[in-house]
This record gives sequence, C-alpha cells and structure tokens, in this order.
Amino acid sequence: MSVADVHVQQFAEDLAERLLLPLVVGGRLEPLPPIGEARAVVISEMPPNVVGESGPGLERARLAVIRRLCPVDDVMDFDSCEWLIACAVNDLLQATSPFLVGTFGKNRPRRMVEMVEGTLDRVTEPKTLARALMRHSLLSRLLELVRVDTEVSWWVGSETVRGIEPPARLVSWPSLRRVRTEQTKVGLAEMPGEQPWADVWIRALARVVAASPLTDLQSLGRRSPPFSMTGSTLGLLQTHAGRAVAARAIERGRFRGRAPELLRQAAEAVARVDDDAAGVVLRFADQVEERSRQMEELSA
Amino acid sequence: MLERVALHQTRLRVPGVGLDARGVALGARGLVLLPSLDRLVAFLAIYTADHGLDGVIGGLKIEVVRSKLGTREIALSFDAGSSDRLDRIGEVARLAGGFSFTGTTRHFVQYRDAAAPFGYDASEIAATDAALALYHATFTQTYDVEKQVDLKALLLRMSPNPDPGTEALDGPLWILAEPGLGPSVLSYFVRSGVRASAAVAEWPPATSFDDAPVRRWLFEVEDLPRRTWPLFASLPGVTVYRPVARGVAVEQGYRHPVSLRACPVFDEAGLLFMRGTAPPLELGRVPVLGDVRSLARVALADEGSSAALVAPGGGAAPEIRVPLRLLPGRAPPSAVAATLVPKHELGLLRRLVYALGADAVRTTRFAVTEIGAFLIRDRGIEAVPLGHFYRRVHPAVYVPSGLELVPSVDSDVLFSALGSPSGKIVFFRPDSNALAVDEAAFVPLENAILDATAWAPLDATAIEPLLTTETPTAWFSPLGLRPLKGADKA
Repeated sequence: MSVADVHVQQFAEDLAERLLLPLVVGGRLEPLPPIGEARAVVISEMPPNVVGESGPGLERARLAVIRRLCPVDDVMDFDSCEWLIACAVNDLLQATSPFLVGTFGKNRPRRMVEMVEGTLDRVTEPKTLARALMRHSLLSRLLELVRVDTEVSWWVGSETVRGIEPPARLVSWPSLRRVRTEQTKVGLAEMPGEQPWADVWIRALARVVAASPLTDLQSLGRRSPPFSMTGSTLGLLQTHAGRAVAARAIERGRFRGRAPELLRQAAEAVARVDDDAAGVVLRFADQVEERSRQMEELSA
Repeated sequence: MLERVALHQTRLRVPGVGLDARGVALGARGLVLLPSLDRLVAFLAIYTADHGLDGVIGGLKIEVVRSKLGTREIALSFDAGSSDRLDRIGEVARLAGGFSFTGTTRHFVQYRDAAAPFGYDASEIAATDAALALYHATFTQTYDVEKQVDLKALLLRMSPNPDPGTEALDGPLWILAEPGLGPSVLSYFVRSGVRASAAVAEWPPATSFDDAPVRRWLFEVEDLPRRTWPLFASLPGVTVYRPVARGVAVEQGYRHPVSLRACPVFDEAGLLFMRGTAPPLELGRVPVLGDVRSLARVALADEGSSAALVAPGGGAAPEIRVPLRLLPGRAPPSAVAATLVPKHELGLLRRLVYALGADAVRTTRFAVTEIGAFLIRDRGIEAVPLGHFYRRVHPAVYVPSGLELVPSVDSDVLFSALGSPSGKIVFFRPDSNALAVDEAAFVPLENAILDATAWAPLDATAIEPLLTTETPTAWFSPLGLRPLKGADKA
C-alpha cells in the first residue's frame, strides 16, 4: 500500500463517517472540505473499501435500505461511480457553505458546481439491477437532507447564519441584549436560495438524483428538481425484475397515491421522443396502479 | 252579476275575499256545490284517486243545504289554503258536475275559471240572514243548512263495487272465519307453514233476541301461498279482506269507490271491514293476535260455540292443554350436545381435561351450578364420557338422552310454550321438570380449567432501530483561507 493509497483510504473513511453514514441513517452530516473533480477521479480509479469504524454500520444501514425492496444478504463494495457520486454530493453541499465565499470568493460556488458537473460526467448508468440497488442504498434519503438556518435577533438588529452554530459574539449577554434565536430547516433543493448560480446547482442535483434510478422513481412527485424520465430510469424499467423493484420503491415512497398519474405525465414527455419507451412507462404506470389496487383490497 | 277581477285590482266587494300573492281572488275557505249525493261520491272518488284529504280534513264540512225554492244540494266546504289547491278542487268539481266558490263565512263568490283568470267579484252583495249566499255567473242564491253529513258515515254507506282485478291474494291479508271454521283454518295454516296470527273477535249481537255476541276468528296473514288462493277465494264462511289503509280493509274482489287511503277518518287502533254485499264490520280495537303456531293445539279441540282461547276483545277457547312428559324413546341416541356432571364426578372431570383435545377444550362451554357442572358442545359432547347426557332439541332446550318429549311438538312451539326465555338454556330433568341456566354463565372450558401459573419476570434487551427516523442535517465547518485548495478540475 503506497502513501497515496493511505491518503485515499483515510479520505474514504472520513467521507463515509462524516457524509455517507449520516446520509443513510440520519443525523448530523458534516461534508468534507471541497474535493474537486481531480481528486474524485483519483479516488474512483482505485476505489477503496470502507473498513474503519463506520464501515460495518454503513454496511448494515445500506443492507436495511435494500431489504425494503428485495431480499439480499450482502451489499457489494463501492464501485468507482459510487465514489464519484459521493464526492459530487459532498461538493454540491460545500457549494452552499457560508465559508466558501469569503471576501474574494464570490465565484467559488459556481466553480464548485462546474467541478461537480465534471465529476458527474464520468458517472455511467448502473449496469445491473444490483448496482442500481447499491446506489439507492446511498442516496435513498438524499432529498430528505436539510440545513438548519438560525436567525439571531437582538435589541438593535438581527443576523442569519446558515448551516452553522451562531457565533458566540451574536449570542453573548443574552438577557442584556435581549437575544432571540429562531431555527428554520431548509430543504436540499432550497439550499442555494436566490443565488445567481442556483439554477446550475439544481441541474447538478438533478443529475445526482438521476444517477440512482430507484431514488429518482421513489421521489417522482418532488417539486424540485422536477422528475423526468432519464436513460437510467428507462433502462431499469425495461427488465421485469427492474420494474418489480421500482414498483416496490414507489409503494414505499411518499408519492404512491399519485404515482400512476405522474408516470403517465412523464410518459407523455417521453412519447415526443420515443413511442416505444413511452409504452414501457405507460405499462409500468398500469402495473403500479394495479398493485396499488390489490394492496388496498388486501388491506380492506 | 259578477265582474271579472282585473290585473292589479286591489279591492273586492265580497266580504272575506282578498287577493293572494298571484293576484287571484281567494277567501279563507273554498266551497263546492254539488247537486246530489252521488255527485259528491263522484267528487270524492276522483279527488282521492290522486290526492289525500290530509290537508283539508281539519276544516272539511259536508252539508245538505236547501234553497228558498226548496231544492236540496250538497255543499262541501274546506280550508282554501292556497289557490293551487283550490284550482285542483275546482277542476275536480267541474268534472263531477259541481261549482266551486271561495269566501270566508257566509258569502261565497265563484272561483276563477278560464274566463276570469284572477277570479270574480260580485257587483252587489245580497242582504240576507241565510247561512250561505253563493254568487255565480249564472245565478245568485241563498241557502239554509238542513243537516250535516259525516264523512266517515258517508264512506261506510258506500257499497264497494265488484272488481275482478283484485282477485290475487298476495301481500298481507285479513281473514275472517266463522267460529266453526276458525280452528280448521288455524290448523291448516300451521300445517302449511303459513306465517299468520290469530284472534277471536267479537261484535255485539245483531238483535236483542240473540243472547250471545257474534264471534268470528280473525287471522292476519303475511303472505298467503299461491296454491291456497282458490281455496280461500271460494270457501264459504271464510272471507278475505285486503288492507287498503291503516284500520280499513276491503273484501277481496271488491273495491271501494273512494280511495280510503286518502281519507284519514278511520281509527288506526281499530279495524273496519268493508264487506261487498253486507254492511261493514267494525272493531273498536284490534284484538291481541297470537302466532298460530302457539295456538296449534286449538286444532285438536272439538269446535264449540263457547270456545275460550285467549283473544283480547273477543271470546274464550276451550282448554285443551296437556302437560309435557318425558318417555323413553326408541330412537338411538343422537345429537348429544350437553352433559350434566354431578358434583361428585367433578374430580374426574378435572383429570379428564388433560386428555381432551385442543378442539374439544376450545369449543366446549361450561357452567357450574349447585347440582353439578353443565358442559355444552355444539359438535357433540362424546369427548367427555361423564355425567348425564343431554340431547339438543332447540338451541336453548336440552332433553335427557334416551328420552323423548310427548306430545311431539315442534321445537319452536316447545320453546314458545316455555315462555321463550331470553338468555336462558333450559334442561329437562328425567322427571319432566325443567331447569333454566343463565346463558351468560357458560364460559369456554379453556377459560375455566386453567389454574394460574406463577411466572418470573425476564427483561428483554432493547434492539436499537438500524435506520433512525432522525433527519439527515448538514452542518458546515470553517474551510480556512483557501477553501478550494486541492480542489481542481481533472
């Protein structure tokens, strides 16, 4: 094991502990400093295994996510694409960090998003249903991610801090200065706010979600980024097993009631390009509707 | 002379007549003048065919009135209500050959027709003390009231007309049978499984020379089987009546000229039989009716004029009841569904429950009394070879196995004869006495046999959920002076 290997391994352990594990099981998530496209490529070329303290926990948690959809006994190791996706998620979050801009770094978030786009260009569609399940086990809760913004107000003013604890200078002498704090949870898609680079950030987020077709289908009723059929999603629906797992993912998601209607709307968009693919989506919508009806009959 | 009421006219000369919301001349009451009683009958027949008298019955008066010329006519007056109602009555009156008027007390003016859409007003009011002053376009006449006619009495005087269209005997029916035929009809109903109730009804003697009241058997039949229709339609001494309204029934094959359903003048607690060729029969109140199955034994009695069965409001039927007895039966034991385990065998029962199958333990019910424990199992109690076995003859009646009840009556009749005790299960003893055990006292055997077992607490280790419901929350750390250090494009 070379020195570079050691650094990659350590980096992977840190990424798993601070980003991936909280992303799967919930809790406090602290992204690593910006990784960048070049370092992501190095990691993906020699994909490490997570063997540290967070390794077994992450493995069990991913297995639990997958077992909601199909019975498996083991999870596969991270492949290069999954490491690229993990790095992309890290950098997407860091693009919204209040510490990134600084005094002269107004353009840094846009550069970060460009690097994320470059990283995602190297992510291919999942080749097998097993790989699609592995990606879903990482990103199934991505769209649940929130950031806590805290508004601190005192007797002559107020200030809002995003994603960090309020500095001591703002909350000191609370009774004398009549300090009040109010926390607000901001969803992932709202994190860029009204920034000029918000649209490219949302586009990059959409690509991250689309990289995991099961996650994409499970959240097909989300407001932002809006759902649309992609090559990986259509590829998943082309196989019998893929449709079965996708139908289960939708049943266990928040949008199972509206899923047939949303899928038919997506099929209309696909039909402008490819009638056969639209037919696949429509048949899948019928399948989801039929399963939903059967489930209701069983529960009744 | 009458004048037509004009549109937007505000004042009228006839006292008690005003203009309603539509501008039609209308008084508080309406009046229909009919030339004779048969026209009145026609009027009532036509009106009640489609409308009830419920709205007008309160103020309805039928009077025979006499004019100064000595002619008698019929005046039917009622609360006008609205011009809609009076329009309808006016149309019927025209059809029946009468005239319609409106007014309030004494002066009535012709009600509106096609020639005067807003009605009429009299140009001159007659100065008269007569009870009625009618102003019509063709006459003005005063009348004195000669007598009142009661609607109910009038309806009773009308003879029903033969109507071949009502030959079918379907639906609920009343049947009146002469005393000699009543028990036979009752027996026939029981044998044929006809759901019916029976009573003995009484009427006062027709003349003072008769010393006994007139008695007839009264049957209320829910639905007469079709095969019996010819019998009851042609059997002398038996008359079938079809209920046409609450408290009124018309003889089968006849139809009353007036729709009696529309005439709320009959006492709902009583019963009036409109006979086709004879005066109506009226019962002040419906006698208490008993299920014919409960009276089945009457069929065994000799017919007698002083029959003394219970019939409230009626006479009495002869006493023919016999006590129930239990005699050894020749049939092999069957349907053994209960056992009485005497007190001294309860110890054996406790040992036996260890050998009982799970199904037997679960489906056997158990009640403890001072003479022992009763065990009931619908699917058979053979699994418990203890005590005195009982055979189920009714869901709530058990008879000792090997014995039969005499007389051999239907189980439902037997249960009725026992008073249909609710929530009780009756067990006959071999000496023909019966014991009733509260049904609520029977508990599943599995609940009764198990003694409490001591247990020791044992704590389980809590399993932490793998996927917590905590929301993933992003927190950022300071990035230093060069946040993008090392982050480059490839």
